[in-house]
Amino acid sequence: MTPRILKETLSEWSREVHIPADLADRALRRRSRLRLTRFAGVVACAAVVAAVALLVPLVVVPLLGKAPVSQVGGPPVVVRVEPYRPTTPAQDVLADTENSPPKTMIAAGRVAVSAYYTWRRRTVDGREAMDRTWYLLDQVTESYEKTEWGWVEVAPGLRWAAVLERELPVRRIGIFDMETRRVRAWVPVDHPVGGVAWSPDGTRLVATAYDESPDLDMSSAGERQCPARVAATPGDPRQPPQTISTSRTGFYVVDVATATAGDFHAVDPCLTDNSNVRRDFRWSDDGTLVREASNIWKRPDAFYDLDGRPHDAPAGYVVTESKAGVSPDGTLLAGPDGLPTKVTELSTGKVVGRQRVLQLLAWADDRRLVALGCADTCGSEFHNGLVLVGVDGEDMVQLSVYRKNAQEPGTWQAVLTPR
Amino acid sequence: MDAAEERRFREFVSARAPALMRLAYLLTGGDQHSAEDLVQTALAKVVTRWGRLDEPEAYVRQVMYRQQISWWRLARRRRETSVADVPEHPSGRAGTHEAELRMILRRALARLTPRQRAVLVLRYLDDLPEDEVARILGCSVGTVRSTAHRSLARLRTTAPELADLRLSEVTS
Repeated sequence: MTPRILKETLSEWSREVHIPADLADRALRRRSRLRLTRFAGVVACAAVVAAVALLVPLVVVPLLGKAPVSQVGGPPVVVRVEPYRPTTPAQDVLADTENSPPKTMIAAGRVAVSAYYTWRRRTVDGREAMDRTWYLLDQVTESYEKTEWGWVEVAPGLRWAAVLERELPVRRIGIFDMETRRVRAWVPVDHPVGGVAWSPDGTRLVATAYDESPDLDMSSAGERQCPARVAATPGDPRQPPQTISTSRTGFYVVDVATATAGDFHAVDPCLTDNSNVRRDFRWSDDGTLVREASNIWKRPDAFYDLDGRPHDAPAGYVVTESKAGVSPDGTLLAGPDGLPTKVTELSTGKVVGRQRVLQLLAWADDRRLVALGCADTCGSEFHNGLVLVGVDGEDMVQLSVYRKNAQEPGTWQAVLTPR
Repeated sequence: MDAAEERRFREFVSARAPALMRLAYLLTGGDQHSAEDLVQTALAKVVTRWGRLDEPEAYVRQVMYRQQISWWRLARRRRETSVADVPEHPSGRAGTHEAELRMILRRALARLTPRQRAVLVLRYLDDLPEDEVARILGCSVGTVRSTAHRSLARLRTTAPELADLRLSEVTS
């Protein structure tokens, strides 16, 4: 078999194809369908293949570009579209073990590295801050693209992202179309925000407001005195904090379909004992409450209703000790950082498997987890990278390069999102 | 996209459709319907970025290569099953005419995976060096090399008539 025969055969074969006359029309129609369809609804995302039903609205504004919504004539509408590329596969395991930071898409099971950032310290007005450079997944090319955003949060389904401009906190939130790579709507806010999080169904954002950068170094953030309080329950070891370091003021709940932020809800940061400067709000798993993650081991998260009032934890809430938490089928619980880590049966507490990894980050499915694994014999916990591992600790697959020192400036930090 | 941009896009498609369809036909293993779908999907991606691409054809080709490989992954299990059977073939190549050999080779090419076919198209039809193939497919040079090697080996396995022909693997 010579290259000549191969070349001639390929060439000859390719000439048998019929060339349709309307290819340009078809491509333009597909684009127009996205642009012009105008009726309310939601779109199931690409993750249907992974059996994760997620709802992601499509926001359409009359003009594409960076102008705020208020300047482009009326509110955007929500359009119903067919599931985004229904033929897109759940490419079960995608790894990039050659590039650090990664260049090509990393994913396993139901989750993908939707974005990552590299960080450096920067001095601003004599105060140290963490400066992030964000890289965002481009699913078309299955690669990561450097961005100029100050903050990026990808929605479940990987179809949309919320973006904030540099120099946090900022006064508008961008709804970024991951397919066209453009901001489709800007949501103005009166109180500047420094972090955003998508609701589990992809229809809302909780945007956390700060008076100053939430990425100031702890030592330069300054402390504020909290008013003297007594614990709600006498004898409760969870005493109210005496000081805090954050400039957090409250949150907005953004309705993505209408690109409106609604009312600002002030939340007293002294209600919970958390020493972090960045104290972003997130969502409860059922999407009914706003949650503030605890930074104290085994201490439950704090919950608020959507008006900012403290609220009991939702029914069935489980205090988790890992980022992965409870398995998708609700039966297993990922344990605290290792080495090794463990997974227990939620109902009995029985250990069902141990894994030779540092942290359990996300469930790839009911039997596998994306984890932080360490290189070689785990001589250094900071020489680590992403791996896929079974609950039983077997079948470990390296997903990324092992970073030489994950704590050094310039190293990359992955963000995992259901796809 | 304004009217002028749309006109330029239509001109681009009109000029390049034959080449793009031929590539798609090869990538999809000779499936007309899938080839049209592949080109249409890739062009829809180009539309959204029209005006911002220095080399739209290079972009659409890259999308096609990667898209086809991605789609294939979804149906990998099914397709691997379907190609598991070695096709019937004449015993021995004695007397095999080159035209017949090309038909055999074509059938064997159709039974490769999209990634394997993509590598062969890029290497042997487009005559691209390994590093350029790696860039287009978003993988390493080593992966390109090993895929090309495995692809040729699989051709010989599925079409033993080709086995004792001189294998001449082009190197960059």
